[in-house]
Amino acid sequence: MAQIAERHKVSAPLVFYLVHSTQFGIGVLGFQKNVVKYAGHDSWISVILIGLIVHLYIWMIYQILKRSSGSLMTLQHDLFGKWVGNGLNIVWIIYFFLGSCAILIGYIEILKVWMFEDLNIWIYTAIFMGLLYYIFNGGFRVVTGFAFFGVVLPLWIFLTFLIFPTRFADLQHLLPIMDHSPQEIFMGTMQMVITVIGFETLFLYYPFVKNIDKSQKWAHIGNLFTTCSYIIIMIVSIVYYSAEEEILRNKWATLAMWKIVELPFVERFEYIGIASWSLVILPNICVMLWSAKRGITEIFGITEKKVIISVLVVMFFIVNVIVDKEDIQLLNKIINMYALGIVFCYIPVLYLITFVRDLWKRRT
Amino acid sequence: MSRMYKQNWKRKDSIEKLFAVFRSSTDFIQYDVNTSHIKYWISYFETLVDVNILNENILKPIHSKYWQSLEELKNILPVKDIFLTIDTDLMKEKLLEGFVMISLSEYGSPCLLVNAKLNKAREVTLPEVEFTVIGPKEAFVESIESNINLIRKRLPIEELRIRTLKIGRLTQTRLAIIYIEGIADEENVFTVWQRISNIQIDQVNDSSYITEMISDNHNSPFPQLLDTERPDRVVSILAEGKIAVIVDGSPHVLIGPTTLVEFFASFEDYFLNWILSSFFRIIRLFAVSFSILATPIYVAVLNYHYELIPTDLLNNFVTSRREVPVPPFLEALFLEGTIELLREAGARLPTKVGQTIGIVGGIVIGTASVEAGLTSNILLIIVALAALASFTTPVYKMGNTIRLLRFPFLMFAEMYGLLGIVLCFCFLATHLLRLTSLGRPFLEPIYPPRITDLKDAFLRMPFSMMNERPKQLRTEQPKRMDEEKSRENKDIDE
Amino acid sequence: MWKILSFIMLFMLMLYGCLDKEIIDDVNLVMVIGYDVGEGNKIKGTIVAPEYKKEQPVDSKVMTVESDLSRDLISDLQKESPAPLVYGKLQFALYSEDVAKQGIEKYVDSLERDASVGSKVILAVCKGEAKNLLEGKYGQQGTATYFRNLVEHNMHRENLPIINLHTYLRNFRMKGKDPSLPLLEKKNDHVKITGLALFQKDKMVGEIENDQLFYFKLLSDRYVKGIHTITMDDGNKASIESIRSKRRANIDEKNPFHLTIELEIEGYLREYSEGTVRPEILKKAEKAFEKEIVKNSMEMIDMFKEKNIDPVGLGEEILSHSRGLRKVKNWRDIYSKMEVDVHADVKITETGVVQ
Repeated sequence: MAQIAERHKVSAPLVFYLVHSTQFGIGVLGFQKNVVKYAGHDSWISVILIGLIVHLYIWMIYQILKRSSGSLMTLQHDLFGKWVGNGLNIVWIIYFFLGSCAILIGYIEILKVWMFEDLNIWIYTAIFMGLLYYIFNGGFRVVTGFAFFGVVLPLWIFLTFLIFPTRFADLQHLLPIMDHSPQEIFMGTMQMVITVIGFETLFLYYPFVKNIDKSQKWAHIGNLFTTCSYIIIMIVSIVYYSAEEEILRNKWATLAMWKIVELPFVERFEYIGIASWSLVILPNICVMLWSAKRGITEIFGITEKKVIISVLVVMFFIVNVIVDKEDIQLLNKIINMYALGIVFCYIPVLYLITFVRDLWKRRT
Repeated sequence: MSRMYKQNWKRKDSIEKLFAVFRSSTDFIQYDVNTSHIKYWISYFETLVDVNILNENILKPIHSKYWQSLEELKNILPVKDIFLTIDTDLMKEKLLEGFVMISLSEYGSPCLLVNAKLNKAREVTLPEVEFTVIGPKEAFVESIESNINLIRKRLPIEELRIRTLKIGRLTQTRLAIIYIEGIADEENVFTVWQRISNIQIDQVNDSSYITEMISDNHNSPFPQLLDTERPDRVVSILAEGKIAVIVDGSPHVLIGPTTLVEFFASFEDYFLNWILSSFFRIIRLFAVSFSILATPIYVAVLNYHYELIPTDLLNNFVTSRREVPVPPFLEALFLEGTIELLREAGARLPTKVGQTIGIVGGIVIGTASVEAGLTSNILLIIVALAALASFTTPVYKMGNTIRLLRFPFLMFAEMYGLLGIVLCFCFLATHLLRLTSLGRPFLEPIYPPRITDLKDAFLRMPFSMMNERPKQLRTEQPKRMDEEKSRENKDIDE
Repeated sequence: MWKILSFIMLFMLMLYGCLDKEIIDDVNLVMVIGYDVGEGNKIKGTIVAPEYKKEQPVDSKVMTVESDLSRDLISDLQKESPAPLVYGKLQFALYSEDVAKQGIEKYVDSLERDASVGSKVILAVCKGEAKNLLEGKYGQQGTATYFRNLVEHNMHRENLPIINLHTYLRNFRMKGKDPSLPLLEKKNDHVKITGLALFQKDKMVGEIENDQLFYFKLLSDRYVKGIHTITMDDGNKASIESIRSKRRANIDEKNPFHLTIELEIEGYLREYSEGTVRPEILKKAEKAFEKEIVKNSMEMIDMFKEKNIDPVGLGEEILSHSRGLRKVKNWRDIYSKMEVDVHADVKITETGVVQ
């Protein structure tokens, strides 16, 4: 596999921003509904669980990649041969691609419901594609730069979550703790899957990181930060709403919490929040789409520019076609299954295979 | 490269050709003199030669001392640059610089070239653009020798290196690349040298021509090389490990590689207390953001997001807008256009008239347009403040960029409201992320994040804390001074 | 070349994709909406929109319409308004007592679903017709601001519990609590808060007078800031302002439905009808206040149990204490099993500038 030029590489601490920005995206705005359906007011325990699980998976990813050369694509190529390996590679590429489409579709849905009802999706998507093209042309460094901005700039919005809803908070909603059975809490954890995925893009940008050994701790810190954010938001949601009934009705619980924010010079904060949220989802879409594009380049060897343009054009059409309610639900279900399968089942399998192969190599 | 191997008749031809061309200008003086001991021919350009040097240092010894050949004359004349040569290219070059050519026959060769340059340059005065209230007040002038003198006397070390080049087919402008060897990264120096050598242009009138030619991206509105007219600033950046380029004929010196945060740092920050200067830097930052975002936010909120306005302020907004027949976007464009007109007109007029027009124009036009109902007074205040705020940037080139940046934001705000502003910001951020200055990332301390470099970015930390040279420059001597000693506070009794 | 072409295309696209604008002086901002019972099954809706005039007090425009559905009201009103009506700045929603007794859920639902309506909208019930109340001319800043300020400062500094759309919806949906709304009444040419309207789910079933508000707020919001006058044994009256107050509920371990509520109040003595205050008088005042608190709170809670409502959230205390209770479906049956004891502890720390 060709070596990546030094000027495209990013340094190790930036992995923190990459991991956190891919996990913290559109799911944040409405993840409470699905989890609370199963785990009720103990949903925050589900969040802790999923955080720990993801830590384990990140560790596994690093172990897998340390024993291979290059990225996931080459690994699967080596392990399973040309046809099966490439087939699996294509499965992963489609996964990343659909993931980024789903994020954009979810965000456009929010825009249509909350801000601009008559938003012309074709034109907005066209401008968005233009922006993505500009970013991708700059290389992986620009993508990481955006991940950095997408984490640092919206941090102040976090403060609004902590200060304003807590005025109407009632800590009693959290009690009694562990009122739900472990099965119910685990079912809640399963619902969180679609919101924490994104860390597996690590598979694809692994060769682009300098000092890869030092980056592992940063990846874990990124996930820790994500988990803490989710826990805080979940707890604030539970104490602000009445734990069960109201959250269940609210499709975007986090967004609705912004309705209560009142600053001295601005009254309805949710418009500022939604507009700034595009800064949060943009790196999410960028990194996943970049991974898909990178996968295609590695397998098929076509020039970068052509791949970028074709990927963006396909995404443009997909996003504009899938705009009905049912289609969006279907897409989300597909991605949920995909994520469970590919990320949570397949990665341990891969880990075992590489582990065994490594042992076998050491013996001979 | 001498042509001594060439034959005599060819040399003679060249000199004849040279003189034939030169003689068509009336300021080319050529005559022969018969002294007591020898006859010689002298040629020079009257307008380039200093008459005093010619009379005192050249003609006087020639007539008073006894000499027979040019070699002897060379040892007699008390002038610093004397060339004895048969190279006609050198003769042409030096005659055009202001040298006096002495030969023993009309078209004879070898000839003696004696330096009698007339140095009529501006005196070293106050800086006009980067004026500071406290601190040194010397500024660069147009003569490259004076400029280098100003730098060399402030850095009396042996590692200071100066390399010169000549650029521009017609103007033959001299350029000097200055750096401190051992601190500056060799790669940066090489990049600058290579880019300048590759310039193909016919005239270089100012250092800005060079900036455009060697910029990484000349389509970007952001300047990628800093220019300054203060020698102390140049010395400071040389000590950091950057490279300066001086262009003959231009009082502005180019500095590279540079980052975005440097454009918002005035040199006066180093002369004030660090708490004060940090505060001023933060104010500057807010001023710039306000300047870019104020009018677009006004347009966005009035067009799409009326819910954001606090209920108590609604009265003011609605009554002031009610009189205005045009939508907020056109109102904003009209006012911005007026401010640009005022600025351009003020720049062209002579000082006395310009000031009056500026004040009168601002006040009269502003008030009158509110009365006529063409604009609302809230927008007028916002636009005026934004215009003021855009001039807080210490570097003139960046101030112009800030003025320009407002318009794309305005357009996006008109189209998509707050969402448009964020989109435009994303485009701007991508542009800045892709921008490099001499190959180094333009957004350096912000991204890739380098905490140690942030000490001099948005705040100005005390000198004892700024112990390391900026990481982006990958200098060879990362530490400036002994850290512990600089932090010790020795008491009087010790 | 391609770059220029793509820029031009992008530019043209941008011009094409313009959105509907709601420029602020071209729209009518609806700030108050009021509901009455109309003839038959119809609803009568009244809206108030401010009219801003230069350097004059804000005028209010009132429009009334009758129709079947809440949303129909809005489209009917649009037909009578010269500028489009928008609800982004809705501040206040008023329901007449008759409407409240029938149930306000369907009205609140439309407010909840609309993304442009904020959560800080204040809801209230009025005696008499809402249309009547809204048609008056109040204050310098317009009707909406008048109503809003009236209720808000009473909520933050006096005895009215904090209520807005969010708290209403939360209490409505919660198992262990019922909503309550301020009760307004027109008095001559201004509006007066006469108490609190108590709801069972979304129907109004009772009310509390102003003098009970002190205890209500102490129980429900767990703190209170207002002034209260007590009569002591010897006939003297003392006026005490609460500075700090707390409510704690302790559940008996053996009987999960037995609640003991402990109220603590730290207050300043604001007025005493007799003159000099000696330390024994202070003690007597404290005791008298404690007795009154216990008596009034128990009376109120008995009234709640009788009407089968729980506006102060005692149910939430019980639910949060024992496991498995949150999943019970018929919460109201258990509610009647609740036994409550109230203890009060009053400390008067300051008596003002003089003794």
